[in-house]
Amino acid sequence: MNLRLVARASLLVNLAGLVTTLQAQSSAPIPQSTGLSYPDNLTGLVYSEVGQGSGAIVRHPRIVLSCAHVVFDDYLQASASGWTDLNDFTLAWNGDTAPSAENAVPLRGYVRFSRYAETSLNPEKYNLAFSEDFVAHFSYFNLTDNAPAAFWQDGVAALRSSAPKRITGYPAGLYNDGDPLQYRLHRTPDFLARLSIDFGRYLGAVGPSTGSGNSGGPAWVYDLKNHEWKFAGVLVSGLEKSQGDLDNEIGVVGANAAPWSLVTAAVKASGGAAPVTPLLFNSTAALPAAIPDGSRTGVSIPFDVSGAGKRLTTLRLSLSSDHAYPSDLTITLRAPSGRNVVIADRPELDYVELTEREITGFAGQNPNGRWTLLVRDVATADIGAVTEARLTLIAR
Amino acid sequence: MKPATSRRLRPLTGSLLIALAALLGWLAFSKKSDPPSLAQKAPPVRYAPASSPALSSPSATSPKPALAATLPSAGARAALLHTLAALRALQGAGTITDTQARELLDHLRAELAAGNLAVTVAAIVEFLVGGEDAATSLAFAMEDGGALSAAPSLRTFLLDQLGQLDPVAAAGFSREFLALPLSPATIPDESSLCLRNLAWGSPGPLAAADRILFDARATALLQNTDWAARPSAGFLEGFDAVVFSGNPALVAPLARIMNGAAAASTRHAAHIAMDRLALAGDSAVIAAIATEPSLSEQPGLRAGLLARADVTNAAQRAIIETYLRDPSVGETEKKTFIAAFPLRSFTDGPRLITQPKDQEGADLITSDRASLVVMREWATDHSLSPLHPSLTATIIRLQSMLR
Repeated sequence: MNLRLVARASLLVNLAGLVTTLQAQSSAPIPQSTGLSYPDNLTGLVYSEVGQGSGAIVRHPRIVLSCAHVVFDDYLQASASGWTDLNDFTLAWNGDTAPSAENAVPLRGYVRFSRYAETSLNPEKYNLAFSEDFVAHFSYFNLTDNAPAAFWQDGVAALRSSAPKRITGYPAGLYNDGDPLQYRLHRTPDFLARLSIDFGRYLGAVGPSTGSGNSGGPAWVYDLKNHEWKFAGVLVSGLEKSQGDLDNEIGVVGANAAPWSLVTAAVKASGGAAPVTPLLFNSTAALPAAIPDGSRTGVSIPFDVSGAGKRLTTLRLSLSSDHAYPSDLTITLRAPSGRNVVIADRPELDYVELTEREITGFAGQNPNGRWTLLVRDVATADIGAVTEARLTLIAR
Repeated sequence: MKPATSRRLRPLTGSLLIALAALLGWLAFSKKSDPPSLAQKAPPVRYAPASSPALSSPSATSPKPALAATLPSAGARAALLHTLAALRALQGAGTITDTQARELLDHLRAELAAGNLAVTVAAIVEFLVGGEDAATSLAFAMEDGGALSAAPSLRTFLLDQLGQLDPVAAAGFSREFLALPLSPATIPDESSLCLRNLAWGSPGPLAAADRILFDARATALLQNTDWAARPSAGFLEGFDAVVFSGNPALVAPLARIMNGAAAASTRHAAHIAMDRLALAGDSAVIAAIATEPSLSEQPGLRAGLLARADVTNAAQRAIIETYLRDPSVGETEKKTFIAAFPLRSFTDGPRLITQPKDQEGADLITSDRASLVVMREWATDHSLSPLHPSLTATIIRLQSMLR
């Protein structure tokens, strides 16, 4: 036994009052008599046409996170429709029978990750489709009166850490059909094992186990600083000794930037997104700024963007120029990443007056840093200056 | 207003001429003893646009100052050649690692970004025209927005950089590239990047000539059985061109791939493209899906695609009602459609050309309510009576979702 872990476990018990377990152990039903407390009470049963799984309300009361293979019928399977849209959720079910229709809430839809090339990667490296096995359901109304579960921005790092962990859900595969226990909410004992089997976002650990059927079950990691459990990812795979496997093992997709973008999209689709305030950035250049006549160098108008979210969703440009002949001008916007997008290429205009014009081509980029508007007068004779320049952006 | 084109060449043409001038200038004035020429280039020549007047013959009117200003700098050109040699040496030794390849490309990216833009663009175009290349051992991978986060070859890296640094010049190069017929030497990853760069080069919708060129190559991509049988990641990501195009004529070849003998990953890419094409909501696309014969062999899939239809649009409502009344469509398929309708699930993830359109809750709810009204009419339509139980179940479900 790792002595360092023992010492750490003792420390944790003292600091947080947590029961830590160093032995590999499987999920067990939560006694009905004890009731459910946070974060177990934000776990629920997901039913779809594909099968049964688990999920949890995280980040927003209209969002249920689960894993994609619980709800997605692969396009390549015979007679597949691809989408199934009859997914139901029953929050904090801990009964002896399947929940009735009255207990289940139909989920309006879901967002899952996809790439055209997702099935072409070398499976010996890792299976991208599996590592992205994460789905964000949305509803048009709140699914709980409680606050949604707290979450780790970087769940991958949290899962790799030595902080206490727990997985909840419904491991129906542990039981024969009709066994009342298959409808009971389960949880693993709290464990300290780092998820050190590392395939990027898909992480694993030998020792703890949930048994089969628990796909989509939330993986919680304790925040030692703020003393609360936070969602860090979803269970997607595992081995279970009691079912004949060689060892106990869990496989979890950690939540970080890519899965969170699914959640953000789902929140938007739910109609539950918090109002977003666009950020305005005026140029740091002194205006008006003369545009050199007949020069390919042109004039550079910088914007220093800071404090915005890391993923740009909307960018608008306001620009005015008194140039006498706008058809001489080319206007290009350069992102902090170095990417350029042509705003105008010798436009057939009488004057340049862009007001909150939406600029596409930068979506998804980190907007923080220096943007540069490059205005070039590629002909001679007519002259002018940039008189006003402003960027408006929304990032999440 | 004075006509813009009467005074001087369009800048796009100018960019190509500048690149050409730089290349020809370098060939003419280089002190090296054996400067390569396009015509004498030793194989493998992967891109040799001999038919292009702009690249095959010097322009008598090429402006001398531009030539002098855009000769490939020692920095950009030297960095390109250094990277080429380093990659080849590592590949030759069989020791290249992802980390080494990334370091080399990161260094090259910094060198290219540090120089004068026009000079850098000229150096990149010169290199691409020259046909040299080296593999990197990296996958073809993208980040949000369509820029590459990893490139499998030096040429794909440079096509990506060209598109980011100078979209107009990149579009110009792409026109030349895409105008060439496909051959066994054409690299599908490069073809996909040229499609992206052509799209990126236009501030707005593609010009008519570009649209024709784009759709022709998108069609060729779908019809290339060699690429479909042994798909590269770049080829598969190129299916986003179909979504960007939105051309209903592409539904049929896409459907044939989905239902054919192509590699599983190619069929998967076709499915994703078809779903995103349907989600875009164009009535002509919905009509093409409803009438495509090969989709009748995948009834569950067709039902899911048609469940994207917007029945507040009269044309799409008519398409769906014809479909629901069509006796050749099986009852199981119709029930699958009704259970999924109106389908609101969608996918997210990086795309080469298009950008995912945000699904706004307020819009979805409005559309759901309108769909509910139409479904209630269907539930009292005698011609649809075999479907009434399914319709009633979906109406109840949708009502509870909208409570």
